[in-house]
Amino acid sequence: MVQLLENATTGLAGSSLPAPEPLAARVALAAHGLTLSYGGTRVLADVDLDVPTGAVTALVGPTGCGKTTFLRSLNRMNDRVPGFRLSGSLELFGEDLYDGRSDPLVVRRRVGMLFQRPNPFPLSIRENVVAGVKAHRLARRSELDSIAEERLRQVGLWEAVSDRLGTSPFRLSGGQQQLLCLARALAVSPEVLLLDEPTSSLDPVSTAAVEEMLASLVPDITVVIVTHNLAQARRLADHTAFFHQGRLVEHGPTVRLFEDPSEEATRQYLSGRFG
Amino acid sequence: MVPAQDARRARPADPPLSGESPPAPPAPEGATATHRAAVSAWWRGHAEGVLKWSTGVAAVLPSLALAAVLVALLVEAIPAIRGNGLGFFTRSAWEPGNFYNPPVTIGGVTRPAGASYGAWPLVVGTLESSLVAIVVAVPVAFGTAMVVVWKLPRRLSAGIGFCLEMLAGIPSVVFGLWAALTLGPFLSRHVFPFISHHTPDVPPLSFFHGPVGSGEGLATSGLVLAVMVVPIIASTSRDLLRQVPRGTEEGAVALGMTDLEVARTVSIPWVRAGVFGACVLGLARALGETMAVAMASGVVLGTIPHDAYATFGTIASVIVSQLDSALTDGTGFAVRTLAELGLVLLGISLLVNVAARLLVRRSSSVALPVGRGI
Repeated sequence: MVQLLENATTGLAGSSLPAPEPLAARVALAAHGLTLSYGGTRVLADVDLDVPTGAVTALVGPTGCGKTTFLRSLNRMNDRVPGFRLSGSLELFGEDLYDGRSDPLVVRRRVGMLFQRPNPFPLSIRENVVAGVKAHRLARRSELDSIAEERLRQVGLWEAVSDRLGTSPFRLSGGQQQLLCLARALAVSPEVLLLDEPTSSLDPVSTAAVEEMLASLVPDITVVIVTHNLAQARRLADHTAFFHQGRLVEHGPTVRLFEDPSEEATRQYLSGRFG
Repeated sequence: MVPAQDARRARPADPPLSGESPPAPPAPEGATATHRAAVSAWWRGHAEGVLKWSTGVAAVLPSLALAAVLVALLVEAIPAIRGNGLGFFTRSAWEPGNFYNPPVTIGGVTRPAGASYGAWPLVVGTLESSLVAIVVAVPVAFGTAMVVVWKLPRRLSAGIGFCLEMLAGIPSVVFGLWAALTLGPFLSRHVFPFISHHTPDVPPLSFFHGPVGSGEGLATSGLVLAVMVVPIIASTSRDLLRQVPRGTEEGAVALGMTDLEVARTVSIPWVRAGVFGACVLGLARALGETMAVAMASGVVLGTIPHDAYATFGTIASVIVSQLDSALTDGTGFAVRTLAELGLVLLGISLLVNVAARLLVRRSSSVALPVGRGI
C-alpha cells in the first residue's frame, strides 16, 4: 500500500515510471460537501468522504444519524422518496452520480445493494439469481443456468439448493435467503456493494456465513456496510466512518479509529457509552 | 341444592369474583340478588358448553342451507331431467306446448302437448356474455388497481377506492335500467356501427361484423356485466398490491429494474394467485347475474347469438323472465324445466370454480411466505 501510494505520488509528479494508477481510480465513491434532506428536513450535512476501492468501509453511528440515508444515496435509491433533495457532489469512479446524465438504472446495476431483511422475489430460486441479469440483458438465455450455478457456488449455497432450483426461495432459512439475495446482487457484476445492516435479522451462525462471504468479495468489489454491530465493523472493515447527529464526525482505518479516535464523540460511541 | 353451590363445586378453582368485576349495584330485594348470583354462577359454569354448541350450530348452518337448496332444486328438477333427457343440452327449442289440448305423458312425465325445451342457446349465451365481461373487466380492473397503488397520490386513490365501493354497491336492476335506456342505445348508435364497419368479415372477427340492432344484445350485456365485475377485481387487486412488501420491491429497484420490470418480477407474481381468485369471483358474478342481463339482452329464446350485437338469453335471465308464464303450465313441466336450468347454472359455476382452482395450483409453483389471498 505504501509502495502504491508512492507510485501514485511520483506518477502525479510526472516522472517516467511505468503507468501508475491515477489517484482517482483508487477512490470508488467520493462525497464532497454532500447534504441530504427529506422534505426540508436536513438529514445529513456537509459530508466529505472517500470510499477506497477494493476495501470494506463500515458506516457506524447511533440510530437516526443519517448513515442509512447516506448509503441509499450511493445507488440513488433515495430518488424514489418524495421530497428527497441532495446538494454537493457524489462521484462513482470519478463520474458524478447526480448530474442528470447518469442513469439511475445503470448506477444501480454498478452499485448493488443488500438489505436488512432478506427479500427474495416471488420467483423460483434460479429465477431469483438471474432476475437482474435478465432485466439488464447481460447474458443470453442459454447462459442463465450456468450464471445461476456460478453465483450460487460463489455464495456457498449451491450444495444446499442445487436439487431445488425451481422451487420457492421462501422455504430457505433466513441466512440462506440472505445469501440468495447476495448471489442475486452479485449476478449483475456490481463494482460496489452496499449493505444495509445485512445480518441484523440473522442468527449468529448465519451471520458468520454471510460475513465470511462478504470478506471474500474484496478486493474485486468495493463494499460499504452500515452496521450497528461494532464487533462486526471491527472484524470486516478496513475503514470505518462514524456518523453522529447528521454529520460525519470522523473516518479512517478501522484499527486507528477504534484504538485512537480523535473525537470525543467517537471514543464514547465506540466504547459503548451511547448508541 | 342451590345452583350456585352446584356450579362452585363444578369449578372449584374459580377465583373470587370480587377481583374481576365491579361490585354489583345494591339489589332492591335480597331474593333478586340471590337469583342474580345464581344465574351468574350457572352461566360461569356452562358458558363453555353453550359457546361450543352455538358456534357448532353456526358453523354447520351454511352447509345445511347449501344442502337444502341442492335437494330442493334436485327434487323439483328430476321430472324435467327425465322428461327432457340428454337432448336438453343440445336442443335449441323453447316450446311450452299447447296448454288447451290435453297433456301427454311420455316416460312417466306429464307435459303439455308439443312441449319441448333445450338449454343449449342459453348455456352458450351465459358463457359468451360472461366471457365478454371478464375479457373487458380484467385488464381495466387490474390496470385501475396498479395506477391507484403505484401512481396516484394518496388522496386521489382513496377517492377512486370510494368510487369502486359505490360501484359495487349499485343494485343490479339499476345497472339494467342504465344498460337498457342509456348504454345500449348509445353503443348501437355511436360505437357498434364503427366496430362493425371496420372489422373484416373473416372468422373469428366476423363475430363483430353484423347488423348492430337497437343496443339490446350480447355486447351490451357483456359490457354492463364488465362494469359490475370491475369493482370486485379492482378492489381485491388493489388490496393485494398494497400488501406486496416494500422491501421486496426495493430489492428489485436496487438491481436497476424499471418500474415495469419491478412489477413483472415482484409485484405481479406476488399477487397473481389472489387476483386470479378475484377474477373467478367476478366470473361467478357474471355467470349468475340475472336482472341486468334480463334487461339488456333482449331475452331471446331458442336461438344462439351469431354475432356480438344479437339479442340472446342467459340461463339466469330466462329463469326470471319465464317464471311467470311457466307457472301457467298446469302440468308443472315448465317450472320443473326452469329448476333444471337452475341446476345447470349451478353446475357451470361449480365447474368454473373447480377448474380455476386447479389452474391456480398449477400456475403458481412458487409458494409465497403469506397466504394465497383468496
